[in-house]
Formats: sequence, structure tokens, C-alpha cells
Amino acid sequence: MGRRLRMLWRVLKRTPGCLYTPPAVILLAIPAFTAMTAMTENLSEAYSVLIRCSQTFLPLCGLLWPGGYLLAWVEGDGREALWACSKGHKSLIGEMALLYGGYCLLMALGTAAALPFFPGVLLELPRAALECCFGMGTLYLLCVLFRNVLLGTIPVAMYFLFCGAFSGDPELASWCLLAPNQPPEAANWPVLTLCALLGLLASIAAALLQRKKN
Amino acid sequence: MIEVTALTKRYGKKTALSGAGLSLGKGIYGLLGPNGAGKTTLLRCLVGVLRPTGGTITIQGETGYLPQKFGVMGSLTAYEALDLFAELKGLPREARREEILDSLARVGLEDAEKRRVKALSGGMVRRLGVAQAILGDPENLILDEPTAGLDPEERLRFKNLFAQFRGRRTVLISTHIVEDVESLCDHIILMNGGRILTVATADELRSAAQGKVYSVPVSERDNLQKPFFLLRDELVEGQERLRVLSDVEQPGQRIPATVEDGYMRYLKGAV
Repeated sequence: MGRRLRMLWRVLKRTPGCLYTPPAVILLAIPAFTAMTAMTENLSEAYSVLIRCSQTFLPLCGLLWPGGYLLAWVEGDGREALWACSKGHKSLIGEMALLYGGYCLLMALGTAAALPFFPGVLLELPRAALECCFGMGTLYLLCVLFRNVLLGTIPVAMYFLFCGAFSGDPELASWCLLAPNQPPEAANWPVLTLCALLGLLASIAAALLQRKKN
Repeated sequence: MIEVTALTKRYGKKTALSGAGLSLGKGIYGLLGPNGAGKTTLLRCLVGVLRPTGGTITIQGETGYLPQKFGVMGSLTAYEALDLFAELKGLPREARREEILDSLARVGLEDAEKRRVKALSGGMVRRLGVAQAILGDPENLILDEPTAGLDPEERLRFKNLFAQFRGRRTVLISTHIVEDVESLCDHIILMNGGRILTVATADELRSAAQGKVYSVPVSERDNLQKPFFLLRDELVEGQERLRVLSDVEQPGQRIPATVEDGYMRYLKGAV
């Protein structure tokens, strides 16, 4: 476990864009934008902005840490040597789980900071965690299938954006499983849970594919 | 030591390895074969990067591996890159620095310790790859086309480096450059179509083609007797001649066979 954590840190710190963007967005950008709205408009509008930003950016940022790590193992020129040195280590599902846990912790920090001002934001944490489970699992599977992190990231990111943009369209709404909702209490928990389970299955499929190859 | 028995690797309907068998003790072995022979697939199976479809592999001791394509994050320094691999290999932290510096020195990169990988030349990155392979002083070394794309000076440097390993480890070097194996390897493993054709010394390969290689004037091209295999056109004392491999008498003079001739003899079968 210690070695995996050290490897995660060593690889991710070499992709600073992937490493530092999520904390910058969750702990700086979203709170700053919310605070500005509270000062210029009112608390109710600021709350609405906070929820919209969380539902848009948290799942997207959740793709960066796994994407940055997968870059070295799935498509880099050094991946073969890395796998050869990792005797016995046949898939990255452990690392994906660690990254997911770490990201949930980061989101919890951001939520804790907003909680005194907006108690209702607590419901955004499990919602974002379920969405990120779907996103990370699907990303992992697509990256292993395509052996390319960009090709794996684009469909997942596009789907998140699609859900955000077209959930209000009567013709496309049924495709938007991860539709944003205001207030947070109106979240479709059965569908979100199902998506999270799909993400988990996708992770397992990716791990099995890697073990089969390795 | 490396033991391989009836190794098979299939990708759907395509068979990359078909019942390959090897027994390698201490020494330097050259794995020679044309493109698509299955050399890289065999090496990848040996180090566990690929899972074989059938057969068994037994390797005693640790194995260092240099893949055909080696790279590492460009923003790392040479030292940091080796530290990453040392971490993966589980080298004890106390001895790590000494091991890394020793590996860098052995490949002639002691001055490049603090240089970023992206600033290194192709040959230096390749040497860094060898350095990560020898980290931890493994008993076995597997190197896939280590000299491919290198200039003659770098190739010579590599040969001198590998010569240090003679007698102490099992070293398996895959290449399609006959010259490299001829000068360096104790034994040469010929491979084609996913199969091991033979394991022989350089002298044995020469003997296999001895008496069957002819130097024929270009003017006699139309008089060549079938079957024959044209090895190459070459300039001999300013004259263009054909180097031909054949079991039947040809209109030219018999010349001493080389390892490359023996290699072609095995690849083409009776000609």
C-alpha cells in the first residue's frame, strides 16, 4: 500500500496540470465564485451557483487524477518497463480505488468549507461521489481498451457535459442519466446509484482485461 | 537460469509463438530472427508483460528488462527516473542511492545524473534503459533490440557494456543485426515464424553454410542454376558480384561462409 501511494505521488507530481487542477477548482475557484455571487447578488443565488458549479465541475475534475496516472501505465513509452518491474502487480484497480478515495476526501473538504453557509450542500457530496465512481470506472475501462488516455477521457467528459447541457431538452432528457438538479434534494438517487455500479463494473472489467494481457 | 517449454502465444487466429523451447544457463545469448519472427513476443512472455497461451516458463532469480521501446517521463532527471524504477523493484531505500549511482556509472551516464530525460540523446536514453534493467544486479538480463537506431560508436559502447556481463549472468539479447550477435554472443538462437529453429554457436552457423556460398560475376546472372538464394549484390575489389547461397554448383567461386550466410541457410532451408 505504501509503495502504491508513493508511486501515485511520484507519477502525478510529474503531471502538475492533472494533479493541482482538482484542488484548485474545489478549494479555490468554486468557493471564490460562490463568494463573489453572494456579495454581488444574494445568498440564494450564490447557493444556486455553488450547486451548478459542483454538479458541472466535480465529476469533470474527477477524471484528472486517474487520467494523469494512467498516462504512464497505459500509453507512455516506459509502460512496458514499468509493468516488467511491477512483478505480481497486474492491474491498476488498487490505484484507481486509492485515487477515488483521495478525490472523495478532497470533495469532502470542499463541502465542509461550504457547510456552515449552505447546509443543503451536504447532499452534493454523495451525489458527486456516485458520479465520480461512474466517471473514473468508465475512464479506466476506455483507457485500457483504446490504450490512449485522451481517447478514453473524451467520451466520458463529453457525456458529463451532454447531461449538463441537454437534460432540459424533452427529446434528449431520457439519455441524460446524470442530469443536474436543483435543489440537491431532487437528485435521482436510484439512477445515480445504478451509474455508480456501472462504473464499478467497468473498473472490474478493465482490471480483468489488464490481468488477461499481463 | 531460464527454462522455457512449449511456449505458445496466440492473438485470436494469429499464432505469434508456437511451441518455443529454450534452456539458458549463464552466458550471453543472441536471439536472431527477421521482423515478425516472434522475438519480442517471446521476451515479453519471459518478463511477464504478456501472458502466454500455453507452455511453461521457469526463471531463477531476478530479471532486468529493456523493452524495444523505452522511454520515461521527460521532466524527470536521470536519477529520478532510476529512482522510480528502484521503487517499483522494491530496492531497499538505504541502498538505493548507491545502486542508482553505480548503474549510471556502468552505462557511462554518471555526468547525466541531474539532467532531465528530455535533454538526453536517443543513445543516452537507451543507456538509461539498460541502467534501469541492471538496477538491483539481477541474475538475468533480457534486452530487446538494445542497439536499434544507434550510431556505430554507441553500438560499440553497448557491446563493451554487455561484454562485462559475460559469465556472471544469463543475458538474452534480441536483435536482427547479425554483426552484433556474432561478436558478442556465446550462443545464437535462431527464430522464425514463432518457432525456435536452432541454438548454435557462431562457428556452427558458419559451418551450416560452408561450401554453399558463391561469389558470381554479375554477367553470369542468367546462368545461375536453380534453386538458389541471392544474398546480396556486393562490390569485391571494385567489381560488382552476386553473393549466392545454393546447394547446387554455381558459375562462380566458392567463398567462406559468414554467420549471416548460416543464418540465411536456416531461414531459407535447403536452397
